[in-house]
Amino acid sequence: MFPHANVDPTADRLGRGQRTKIPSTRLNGYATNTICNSIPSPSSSNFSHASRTQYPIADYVDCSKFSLKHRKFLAAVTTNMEPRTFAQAAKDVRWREAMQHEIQALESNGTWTFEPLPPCKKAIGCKWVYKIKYHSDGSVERFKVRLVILGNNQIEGLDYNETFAPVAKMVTVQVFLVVAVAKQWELHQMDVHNAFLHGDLEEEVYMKLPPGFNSSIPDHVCRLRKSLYGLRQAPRYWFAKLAGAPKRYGFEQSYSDYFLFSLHRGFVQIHVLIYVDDLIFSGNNSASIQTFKHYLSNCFHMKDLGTLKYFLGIEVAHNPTGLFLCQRKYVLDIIFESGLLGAKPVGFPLEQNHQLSLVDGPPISDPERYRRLVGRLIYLSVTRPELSYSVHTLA
Amino acid sequence: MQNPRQEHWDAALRVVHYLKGNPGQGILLRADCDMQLSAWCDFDWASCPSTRRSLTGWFVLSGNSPISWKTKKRHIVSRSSAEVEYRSMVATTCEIVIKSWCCSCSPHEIVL
Repeated sequence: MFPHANVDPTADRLGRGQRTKIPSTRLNGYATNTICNSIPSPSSSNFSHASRTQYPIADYVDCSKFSLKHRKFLAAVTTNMEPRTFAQAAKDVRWREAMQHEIQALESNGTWTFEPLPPCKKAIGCKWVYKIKYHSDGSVERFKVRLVILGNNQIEGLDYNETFAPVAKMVTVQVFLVVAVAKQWELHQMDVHNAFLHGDLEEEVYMKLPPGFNSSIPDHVCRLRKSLYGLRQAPRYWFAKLAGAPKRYGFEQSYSDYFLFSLHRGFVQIHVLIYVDDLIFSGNNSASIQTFKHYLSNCFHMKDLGTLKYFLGIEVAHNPTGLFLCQRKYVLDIIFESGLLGAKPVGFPLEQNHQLSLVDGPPISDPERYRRLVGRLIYLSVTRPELSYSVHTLA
Repeated sequence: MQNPRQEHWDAALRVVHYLKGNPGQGILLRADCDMQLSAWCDFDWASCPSTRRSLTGWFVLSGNSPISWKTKKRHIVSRSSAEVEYRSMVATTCEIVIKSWCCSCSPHEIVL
């Protein structure tokens, strides 16, 4: 044991990277560390990590020879990088502001309450996800930040029970459209902002404080009241919440597909089809559709997209003959991704008398790419019946 | 799918080549539709050379508008083409029954 009198007064500041560095005595006879770095002044030493770095990158990158305009361009290119960690994002004031806004939005939404952690519970971590949204001309639209809970650390039975959430079948969507067209009903579309944040959470889930934010009360963690992106049960609670709104309005849920809701009031009929956070409306009375839309907008923060035009990647064109569905953009994306934009078209999707299930050639180096392509082709057969056989053969 | 070979990749690219010829093709849901469901089905007996399982397919129309189609490999081996024919009809009928529930929530009369 050391006597207390001998303890260095700076000892409490010692930590990783703060130890006084003494060069090895063996190197005394040699010239080492020839690059002289400026000794940080005491005033600047507490704010910058770079001053402690022996070889800061700023010494090696020199932009002084470029024109001012080009330097601005370089700065824009370099600064608009999407950070992957909180430590990277915290250095940029724009991301810090975006995170601040997100936290305020979540708190005003009543997502969590501060509570002490019960002894048998464990708080789950969370992380920030950063994304830059660009305008179509390439300029930055906004810095989007989303708080995501690490749902992979949730324990079944403790943090979540049921995770099943129904999803509309594509056939129901088709039948819905066929009926609407045949009866010459209007078709409208809406989508919900931040869908998963609306769900009310039943389980007791505790989350650690988001990186970069401190509670005013020590030893408190966030107890989640609403669901958050990344939670295993988030889609389930979102659907439960969303399904409640039309039901309160008097809608009946269809038994053949739980995502279809219908309202019959005298001669007025409204049908609503929900696909996670997209809603399609159709009905024989446009005034009552508008009333229902207003009702939904009061329940959730929604965006009215007007007449149905683009739904789940399917382009919908109206004309007096009927409704034309195609996935032109999706097809062009597939062609672009396969690098076949300049390729020669062929007349048939598959050779006759193929022996694809018997082939024994060399396995391809990147099976993941093949699976992705086939997956996209499967979704494409939603509007292309003729691909049904070839996609079946490939998959 | 588990172990794709070069030939599979080539065949998949052939589909993309085919798509390139007519990327804007789609389906038309006609306005003059009488909501009468009609369905077509077909089969290919023992079409898979490695497992000898058969293929069935169906195509359901509502009036003139296509609403559902599928090609599916049966999960059991059928011993005669007549057997597959019946199985394919059963699968198609199931599909029509589901559709008729979707369409009006009241079952239609099914005419085979």
